Amino acid sequence: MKVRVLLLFLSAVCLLKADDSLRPRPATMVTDTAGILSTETRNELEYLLIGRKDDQKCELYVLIEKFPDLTAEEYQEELRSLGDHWSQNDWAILAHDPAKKAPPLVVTGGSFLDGEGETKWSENLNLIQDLSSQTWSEEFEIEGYIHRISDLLVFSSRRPHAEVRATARKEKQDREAVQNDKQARREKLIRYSSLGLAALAIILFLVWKLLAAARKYRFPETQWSRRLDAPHSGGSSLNHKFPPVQF
Amino acid sequence: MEEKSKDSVTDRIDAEVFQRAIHDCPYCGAELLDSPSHCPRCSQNSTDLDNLLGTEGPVLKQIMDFQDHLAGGSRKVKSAISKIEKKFPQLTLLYCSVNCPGDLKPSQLAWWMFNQGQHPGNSPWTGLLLLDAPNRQITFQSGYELETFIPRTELEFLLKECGEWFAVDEWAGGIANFFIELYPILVRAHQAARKTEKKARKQMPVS
Repeated sequence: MKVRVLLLFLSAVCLLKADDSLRPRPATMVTDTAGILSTETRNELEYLLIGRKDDQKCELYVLIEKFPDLTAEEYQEELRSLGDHWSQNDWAILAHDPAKKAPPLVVTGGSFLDGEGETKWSENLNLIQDLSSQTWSEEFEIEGYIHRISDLLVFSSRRPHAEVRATARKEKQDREAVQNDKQARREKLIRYSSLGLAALAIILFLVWKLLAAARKYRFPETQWSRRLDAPHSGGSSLNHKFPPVQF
Repeated sequence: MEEKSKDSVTDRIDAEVFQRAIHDCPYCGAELLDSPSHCPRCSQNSTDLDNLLGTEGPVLKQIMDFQDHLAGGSRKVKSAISKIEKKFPQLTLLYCSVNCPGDLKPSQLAWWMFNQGQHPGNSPWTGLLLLDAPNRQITFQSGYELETFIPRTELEFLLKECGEWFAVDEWAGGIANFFIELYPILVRAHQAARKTEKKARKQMPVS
């Protein structure tokens, strides 16, 4: 039994470790460890890609670095995992190793691939990548390619206008419905609380009235002495002579 | 001869601690200090009235309207008295309207009725309101226990207020008003009495 528990624990640790081994999302959209891009170009690209990430919900990560010792398929698979790990939107990763003198590796993912987006992406990617004359080691070549891939990603993931509007309208309606629901709940709560408090006040008042009604007053018993030999009262009467009746 | 209350026990507090009434002689009106068996001024006591009116007093009832002043208003008076008696179970309150014969003062008649009448309840806690309309007099007689707690000034004010009602020929209204207004006076008197009792008990030596 102990061995089973230990194995279970170890497998859980392994799973966690495997998940943790994924490379964390880079702090910038453009990572250039090979030093092909100048600082100015990198900043421009960063500005462009962050803008598209925020406005168009399309994330393009650029990794210019030495490729690991993996086959192309394995590396593509790893990039796909990274993309899914890094982004909740439509995404693409452009990985380039200048030493390879080959076109950059582009992997994409996201919900746009489920519809017409995939066709758009595949057809246009072929056209873009058909650039046999390039050396793939010059800054302007890489910069231009990043621009094209970014445009293609935005183009492919763009939904028809009516659909976008309908989605926005639906989101707005959902938001309003949630707000209305919250408001209705709050009003209901206030109404019931007020009624409860009023009922409590009435009950307390009635209880107080009942207690007051049931209350009896008793004077303390005293030691008294007879006066003028009178058995019950020793002549402490109070007298008043009132005016005659006025008709 | 001085007689102490029948069931006088050690935990009873002396009436003097609460004393709020002033005792006058029903014959001459002299103030009675202590508990004399005869008035120090006129030397009379209850026997003198007994000789005059007899020792067989009437049976005392809640409403004894011999002069028929209440007419249709007796219900209102009964209700006011019942309210007091319900909240103050020790008390018995009575009302009587008479025409005092000859030179007899209403206070004397009230005193004689109170002492020689056949009481329905515990007499030291009884209060009798007696109205002598022909002589334009109203008097309130209270037992040895009750008199200890009722403040004299408030009672005098109540009787005066009664007279104002009678002056406009509102007999039942005046009597009912007396008992209605007596209730808050008793409540206040009770609160004061309880406070005094508490204070007195603190000062009492532990037996």
